Amino acid sequence: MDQWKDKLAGILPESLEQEISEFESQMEMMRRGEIDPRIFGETRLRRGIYGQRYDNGQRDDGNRIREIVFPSGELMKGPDTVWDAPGMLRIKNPFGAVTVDQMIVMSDLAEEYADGVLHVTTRQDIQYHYVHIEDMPPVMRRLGAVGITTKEACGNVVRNVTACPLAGVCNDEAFDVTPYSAALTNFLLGHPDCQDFGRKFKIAFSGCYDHACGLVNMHDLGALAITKKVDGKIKRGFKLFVGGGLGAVPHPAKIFDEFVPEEELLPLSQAMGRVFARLGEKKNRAKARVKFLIAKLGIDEFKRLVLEERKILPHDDRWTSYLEHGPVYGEKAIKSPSDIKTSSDEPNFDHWLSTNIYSQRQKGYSVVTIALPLGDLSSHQGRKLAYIADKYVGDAIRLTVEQNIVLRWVSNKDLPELYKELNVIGLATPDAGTIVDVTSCPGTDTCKLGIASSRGLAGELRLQLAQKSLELDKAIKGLRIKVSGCFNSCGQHHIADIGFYGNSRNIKGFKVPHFQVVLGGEWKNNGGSYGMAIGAVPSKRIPKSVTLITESFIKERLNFDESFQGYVGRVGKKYMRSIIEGLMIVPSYEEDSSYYSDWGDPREFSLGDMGVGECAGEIVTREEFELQTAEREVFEAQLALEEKNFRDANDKSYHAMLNAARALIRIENYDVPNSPEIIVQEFKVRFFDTKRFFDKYAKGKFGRYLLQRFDEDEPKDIEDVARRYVEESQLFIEAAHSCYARISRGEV
Amino acid sequence: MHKFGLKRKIKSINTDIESFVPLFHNWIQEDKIPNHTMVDVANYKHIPDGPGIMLIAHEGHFSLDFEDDELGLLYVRKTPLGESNSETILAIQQILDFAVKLIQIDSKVGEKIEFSDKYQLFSNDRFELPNDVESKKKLLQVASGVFNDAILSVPPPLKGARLKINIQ
Repeated sequence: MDQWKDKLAGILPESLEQEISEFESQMEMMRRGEIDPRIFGETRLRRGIYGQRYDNGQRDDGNRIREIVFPSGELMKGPDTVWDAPGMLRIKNPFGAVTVDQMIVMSDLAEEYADGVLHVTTRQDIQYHYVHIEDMPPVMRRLGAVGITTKEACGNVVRNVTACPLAGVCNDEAFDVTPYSAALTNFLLGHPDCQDFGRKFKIAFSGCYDHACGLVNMHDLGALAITKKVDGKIKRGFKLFVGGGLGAVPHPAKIFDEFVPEEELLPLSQAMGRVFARLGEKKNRAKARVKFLIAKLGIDEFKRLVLEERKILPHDDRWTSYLEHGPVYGEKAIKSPSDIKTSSDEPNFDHWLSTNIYSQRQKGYSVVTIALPLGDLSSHQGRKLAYIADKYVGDAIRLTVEQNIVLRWVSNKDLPELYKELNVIGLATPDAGTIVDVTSCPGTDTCKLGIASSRGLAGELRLQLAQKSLELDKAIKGLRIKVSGCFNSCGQHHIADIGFYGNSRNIKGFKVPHFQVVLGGEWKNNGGSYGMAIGAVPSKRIPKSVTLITESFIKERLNFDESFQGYVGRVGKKYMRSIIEGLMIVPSYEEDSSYYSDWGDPREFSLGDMGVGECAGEIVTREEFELQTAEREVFEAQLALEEKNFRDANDKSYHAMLNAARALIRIENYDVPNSPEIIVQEFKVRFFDTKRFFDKYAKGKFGRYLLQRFDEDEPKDIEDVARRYVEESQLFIEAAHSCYARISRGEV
Repeated sequence: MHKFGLKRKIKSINTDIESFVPLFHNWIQEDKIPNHTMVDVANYKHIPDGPGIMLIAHEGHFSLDFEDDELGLLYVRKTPLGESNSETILAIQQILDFAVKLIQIDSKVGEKIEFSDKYQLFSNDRFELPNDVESKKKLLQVASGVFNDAILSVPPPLKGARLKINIQ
């Protein structure tokens, strides 16, 4: 029993408490072997609970592959995931927004349940690693109490909605996209039309086109703020991009519409969700992102289908209710504006000021970037940072896709003091947004798909570049380096000036960690274009390759105006490859064995630790989910029966039957209302009268349980009655499963 | 309650803490820590005021920890251990001291590190023992029973931080 449940009763929103309690029931069902591990796996992913490296219960310790024997033995929490194996919890922070209270609680939880580290991701989330699954409910409750959800942080759903961290204070934006991203987040969270995707769906908002901003060009759905004069009035809207994405094969987004009025943003997104759920690939997960659907249909046909769907959507007040008052996000400065004061006795203040400060559109205020090495900060730093933020900016904190944190609305005169306080807690590192500020996915540190150590390499590059930061030529200082541990591009290597992704090469029977070098991607223009791979270099020689590539650029560029992308495009792939070709040769193991292990890992390199990734989630249909919900309810009814709570057992078992019936009906009538009368009537007409629900031997017996139950008015608090109802409900749900299987096979 | 952490402070160190990466890997290879399901080694050296180098185990994590600029070997318990808080803390101390011994006898690191006799105990459970006056009394009482002749003191409380006791 989670002690926090009672303590937070009344603080935690009722609906969230209900969801967490349901997840606890599902955990209990899993412990008892009463739920399909595949369904539990996807259920847990949709609560933000991810697997981690070694969670299949084995690890290469450097000498041999050995079994990790966890106390729970063979109990699983997914098809290939051992129950007790440490896991990752992803916390959604829509558009990266974090309040002071949230930062404190996230820090507390990191040390109580994880490894004491908060990791900022490339999607403005926070991740905890090495968390026991048994600890997830209290963590989720405590997060929920400060307004954070982990719901749909993973799995085949709408993931965290990201936005430019400068939204609302940017000098170039058309308007503040924050309220729109908040509205879309809330609208699509748990939305029934977004529960049946074959893969994840990522959304981003940008306020302008020229900068990296929200990177709309690489998202499933990107919304770029623009204004237009209509009848003499300025009208807000969005240029919508669809079908962008990185991954192994990057796809630049296609333009869905040059101008979608603000009031159409939510309904169009919903319509898109319906089309993706209905027509998106479900079997082959490698082809299941919406970009493949758009490639298959063509953008014009995709658009036509979405607009057709839009026409028949039942009206929803939420589409526009958030627009009635503004729309506004409500973030305010807590200090008065002031002029910038550049004098400080702190030695590195000027360096920090030159790289970590952005002057806001609002005169007298700055955005301060806290550059986090590898996106990490300790729980102690997080807590202290929260109190510093409270003093200077209040809740105006955001996470960035470059794995940093920004404090917005800093009054300029506070900059020296703020620097001093950040410096005390190790958070005043300069060089934010420069070549030193390397981004990396988790790679082999914790990811099951990781091939090479992206964090090890990123850490090494950061260290080496930081040492010579002040001497770096201005031309290369502003370049971006991004590292992924495999081709899946979580480190966003495609849109870096210099990107790397991990791979492996066999050299005389040994495996050697390598990184493919990807050059000339465009971070600006919302991730405007993707880089080209020029060759794989042994991991240990990557720092040298960065030196050679950047030196060549400085020496050979046509003039000061030639960008790195321009240079790479002009000299070409073959030439760029020739620069690093000498580094591609690997010394033999006998000559230098250091090449045969990865950065920060003394074990001899191997691929033995790779597992089955959970990025793609499990393909579980909406009907399977809904039938599982019915099963959970009948399980809870059984528990209520054990506790002699007969009325509750009675209600739950009936509700379970209705839910199972509705799951079947929705295959044919998607919008069937959640009303017992209509469900029973629809069930009778579609499944009972047609005998499609009939069992081969029992015939209509199980279906009749629901029809009789609807008509009966038995006393609800009698044990015998409740017991009979629970048993009938169980049989009905099993029959519903069989019926669904027959429908799936096309037999009925 | 099982969520306690205990840190044995380090007097001096004459090696890069990254030398603990291979050392911890070796502990996994050779099953050096009894009753622990060891999983992996994590390198957080880049975080000032952080957990440094960590050995992750199902039952509890070991780390060469930097919190508040006080380097020490820290053990944080994750799963139930003793019947009472006293038993748990005593068992944690035994586990930690065992790990300290392993470091001291290591041929590569042992001679380069000197541990002090000072410990820091903290509650890692804000439900059972939050950082308040009542819990402080409780924890001091338990700690005085476990660390018989030691001098116990409570460091100045940092806003929101865990409840800690210095032991020397």
